[in-house]
Amino acid sequence: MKKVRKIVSFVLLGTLLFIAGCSGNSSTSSNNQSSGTKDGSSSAETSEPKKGGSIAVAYDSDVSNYDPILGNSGNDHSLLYPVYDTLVNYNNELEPEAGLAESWETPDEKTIVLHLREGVTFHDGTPFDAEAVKFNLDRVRSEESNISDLSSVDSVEVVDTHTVNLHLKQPDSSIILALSDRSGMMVSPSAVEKFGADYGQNPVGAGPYKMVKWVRNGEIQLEAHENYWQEGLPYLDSINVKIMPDENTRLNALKSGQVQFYWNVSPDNSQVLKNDQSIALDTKMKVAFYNIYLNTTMAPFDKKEVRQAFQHAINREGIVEALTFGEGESAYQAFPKDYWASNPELTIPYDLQKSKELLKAAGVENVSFDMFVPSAPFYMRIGEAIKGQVKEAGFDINIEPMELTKGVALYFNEKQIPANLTAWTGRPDPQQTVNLLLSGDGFYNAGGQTTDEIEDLITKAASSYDQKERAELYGKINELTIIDEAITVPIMFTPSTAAMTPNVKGFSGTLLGKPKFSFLWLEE
Amino acid sequence: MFIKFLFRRLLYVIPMLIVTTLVVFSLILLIPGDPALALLGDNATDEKLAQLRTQLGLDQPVLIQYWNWLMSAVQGDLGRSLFTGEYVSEAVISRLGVTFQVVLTAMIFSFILGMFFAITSILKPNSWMDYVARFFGTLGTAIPNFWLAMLLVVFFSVNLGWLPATGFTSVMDHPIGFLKSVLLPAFCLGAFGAAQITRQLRSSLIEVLDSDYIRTAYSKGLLLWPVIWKHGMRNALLPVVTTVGLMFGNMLGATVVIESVFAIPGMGQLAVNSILQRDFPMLQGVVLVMVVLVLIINFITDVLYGVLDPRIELD
Repeated sequence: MKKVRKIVSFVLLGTLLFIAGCSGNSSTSSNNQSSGTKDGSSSAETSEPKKGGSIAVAYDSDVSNYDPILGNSGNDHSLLYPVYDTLVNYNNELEPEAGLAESWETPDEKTIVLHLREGVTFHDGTPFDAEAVKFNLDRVRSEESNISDLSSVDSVEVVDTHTVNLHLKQPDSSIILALSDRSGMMVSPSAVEKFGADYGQNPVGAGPYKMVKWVRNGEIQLEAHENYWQEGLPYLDSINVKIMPDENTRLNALKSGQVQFYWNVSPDNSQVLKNDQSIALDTKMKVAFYNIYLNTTMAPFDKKEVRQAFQHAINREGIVEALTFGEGESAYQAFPKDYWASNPELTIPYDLQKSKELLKAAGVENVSFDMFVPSAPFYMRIGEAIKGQVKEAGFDINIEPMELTKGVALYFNEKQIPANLTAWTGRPDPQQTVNLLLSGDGFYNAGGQTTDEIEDLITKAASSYDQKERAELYGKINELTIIDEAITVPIMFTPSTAAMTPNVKGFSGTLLGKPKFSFLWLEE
Repeated sequence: MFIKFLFRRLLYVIPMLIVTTLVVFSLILLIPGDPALALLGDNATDEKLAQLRTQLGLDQPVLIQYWNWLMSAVQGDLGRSLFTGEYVSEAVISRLGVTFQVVLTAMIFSFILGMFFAITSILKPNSWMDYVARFFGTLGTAIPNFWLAMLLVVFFSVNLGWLPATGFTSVMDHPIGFLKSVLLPAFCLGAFGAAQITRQLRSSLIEVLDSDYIRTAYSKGLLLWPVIWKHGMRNALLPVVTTVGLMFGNMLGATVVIESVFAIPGMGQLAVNSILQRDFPMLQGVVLVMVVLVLIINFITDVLYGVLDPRIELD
């Protein structure tokens, strides 16, 4: 009997050791190589790009629809870019650059002239010309489309085979960069005609890659387009995108060599991977930010002083430090520091005293309200942190964890809950952000709070095509809406990080936070 | 006799299908969140919402919606995904193959491991072999499958590099690749089943081996193994067959988690994504196929009873 016990306890001990061994190994494998420093980014290109080869990329979500006018997810873009070239491109700092439109001008504030690139063909051989552009832009503005970015376009006029005029109902400076978004993704008119309702399964663009296989929520196979208009591009023969919603799965796939690139590294993992010589990281701040939306028509936020008090009761630096290991950036306005539209002077000091005084001025001392928080760990952590911080000023938040779709509908559509901690996902052009988030009739300004001054400034910004003048106007709009009126409560910007094997070159993140895989290359 | 039995069983299946699909259909509509809203996002104006709801048929009463769905389903048309526009039947069938291969392998795993541990444990009750078998029997039940999956991936894929961490290769495309890709997910999926079978079979074997006819068999001079296999197992397997039948349904459910950990494009992933997106036609298609699968397995289980024990009459 004694012997049996001994054996059994050995077996038990052995199993426990095995389990401990497994989990121990995982952390040491990434730490023990942490000798010396490394440049961390593969974007610093030291050698000439090489042609050939293929890579596998792990991405966190599948395309909601391969037809650019029907999709509804901000995560789609990265998987659409390889297939569709856009009329306008943007650089890393989100400034417009030539795309399929070589250049553009605004002879008056209600006309935009696009000069199109010549010698471009779609994957199916259809030529890219002014007719194709008109077809596409009319399609974007049609009933079936899911895009509202071109609502100020009155008509699209074909001037000659490679010139198109956009006639606007009212001046709209956001159109140029909107053409780097879904609106500017050119689909082949003949393919739309040929496939009809099945177009979404058979996308045909003028981008560097053709989509040859799509297993929904599984993988997407992209093959190089041999007649791509940019000579020598793309470098890779093919890209295999594997959809992996779980970050651990993506990380394991990278470490075990099944993929060479994975998108969306969490702050926790990026701390660990920084010290791993076998993995290169690329980190870039993005225009998206965590935000608490307030419905300014519902108590307690129908009082301006209460909203202002709430702004000052949040210690943003503390949250950035604790939850992102300092990688994030406190948000006092709708644009991060690196962005041309940002106003470097704006700040919202963490000031409990001021917060209490404001509450007193509003005639209240203790305020309690419900706040929707998506039931995902990171959101919940932010929610809990804020709940703890604002308690000292006299705010009592009742966190309502809900699944995202339900909570968003409850706040934006049914307007049943006064506060909503989610995120602003960012747009290429600041005017789009201002229109949707800060203007009185913006979808994300659920209470419709605004002033005449704010509306005037927004209209003025829309009719200016000068970047410097626009930047000044956006600074003022941010000050009035977020600091004075406190219609929404930005919390923090967080960077997006890509992890890749060191032989993957040519990646650089952009402020939009939507990775572009098209021109990656492999070093031998 | 058998044909009559088959026919009667099939007759049961039809009302069963109607009731389950109706229940599922109503449940789906109870999920808060409107697919029209999910589709339109921040472009949702009241007119656009109303228009889309009409277009999708969401403004009709539930029973009418169900009836329309049922009528097309009978003709083999399960509709199209609200999001990607692909045909539900095509999507579901392509996933079914994947999930079926994984679940079937997991069942085989469970069965072999379960038999092995059950037999080793009853050979010498209360010996160390028995304790080891019982230990794993408890462990398999207690360990959450996603946790086991993560541990195994870290150990076998990341550290040792023996097996792929993610993905799936079909047995039709590449049998060796299939074995490699299916080993870990099937093991994780089958661990619980193996433990269940071990416990179930162990107790029923102990009971059977204690009965009079086994003693008679021994006294006739039969050896240990023939007694266990020919006389013991056949009787002891009956409750195990029930367990296995139930396990199949459980495993289909568990694929939701396991397919996510291993990034396997199967039915589980399709179901989760359809729920998150409120892609009702797709979800309804997935559920329909799962229900049919479970009904088929239950049917097979019933038939197996008769094969294992001729005393059970098939009518």
